[in-house]
Amino acid sequence: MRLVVEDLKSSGHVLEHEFRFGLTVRNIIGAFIPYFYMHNAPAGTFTFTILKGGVEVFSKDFTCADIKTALQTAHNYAHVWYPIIPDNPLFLESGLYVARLSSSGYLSSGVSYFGWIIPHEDLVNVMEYEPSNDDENPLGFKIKVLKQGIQS
Amino acid sequence: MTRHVDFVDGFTSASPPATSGTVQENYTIDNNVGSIIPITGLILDKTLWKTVFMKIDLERSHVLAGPVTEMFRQAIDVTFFVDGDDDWNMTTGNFTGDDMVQSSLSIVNPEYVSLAIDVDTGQINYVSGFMVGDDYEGKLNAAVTRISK
Repeated sequence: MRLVVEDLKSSGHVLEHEFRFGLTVRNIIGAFIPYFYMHNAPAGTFTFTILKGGVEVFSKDFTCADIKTALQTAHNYAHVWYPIIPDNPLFLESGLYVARLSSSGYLSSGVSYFGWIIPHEDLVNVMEYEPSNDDENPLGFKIKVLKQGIQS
Repeated sequence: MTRHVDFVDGFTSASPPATSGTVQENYTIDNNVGSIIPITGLILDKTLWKTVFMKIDLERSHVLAGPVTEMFRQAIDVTFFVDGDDDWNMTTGNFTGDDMVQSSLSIVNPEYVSLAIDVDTGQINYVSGFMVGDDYEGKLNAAVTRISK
């Protein structure tokens, strides 16, 4: 299969994905599940952050070793819907959010890099724009919502 | 910037899948005459690729304190290819600007490029010279535009 990968450049570069909770409810988040690509398991720490209005509401670090452990593999090349699970209860209300992937101690090169996959089709989310080609599709991203409550 | 990765089967792999599409790397150019810059971020594997079309964009500016006084920018197209004796070859890749800059690309030990995990044996080198003064810095952007097997 052919994967279209938006690769994360070296430390200081970020990849971002906007998403919106439209319903006026409180969403209890079970996991954020981005679609990542790992090429030769680069060193460094990656940080997945959720922001609302520029303010961080969630952040969690992971490494390629964590992904390999989760996949129970010794292989250094993988594409994976990787669940990032909040350690504490996380409630997100309606509004516009940004999911951000950043890094520290990471160096991208032609032989070793980390990226976020752009799926050919997104069967889960609704897009608010019309992509002119597959490369303009949104980054692969799902959210596992445990429960919704009334937002008052 | 996107890469296209051909994953043969499954979700994991022990070996690198073939990559195509646009791959862009940035390399910092050292100061002045005779510096040899290994392009270590791009490994040409002849078991996966037979032809690589690369657009190389060289940009350099004079960085003495104060405003930039000189600027050089040039783009060239270079083709890397595997010929009958199974070595990598490349078309001429010379930058020739004004008197300030002359530079070129070369392959060291082309028969080893496909095994170039060790950059000492199969690297692509960038060489520059004829630069006036010691206070220059710049970037070399190499964009692989197409790759065929």
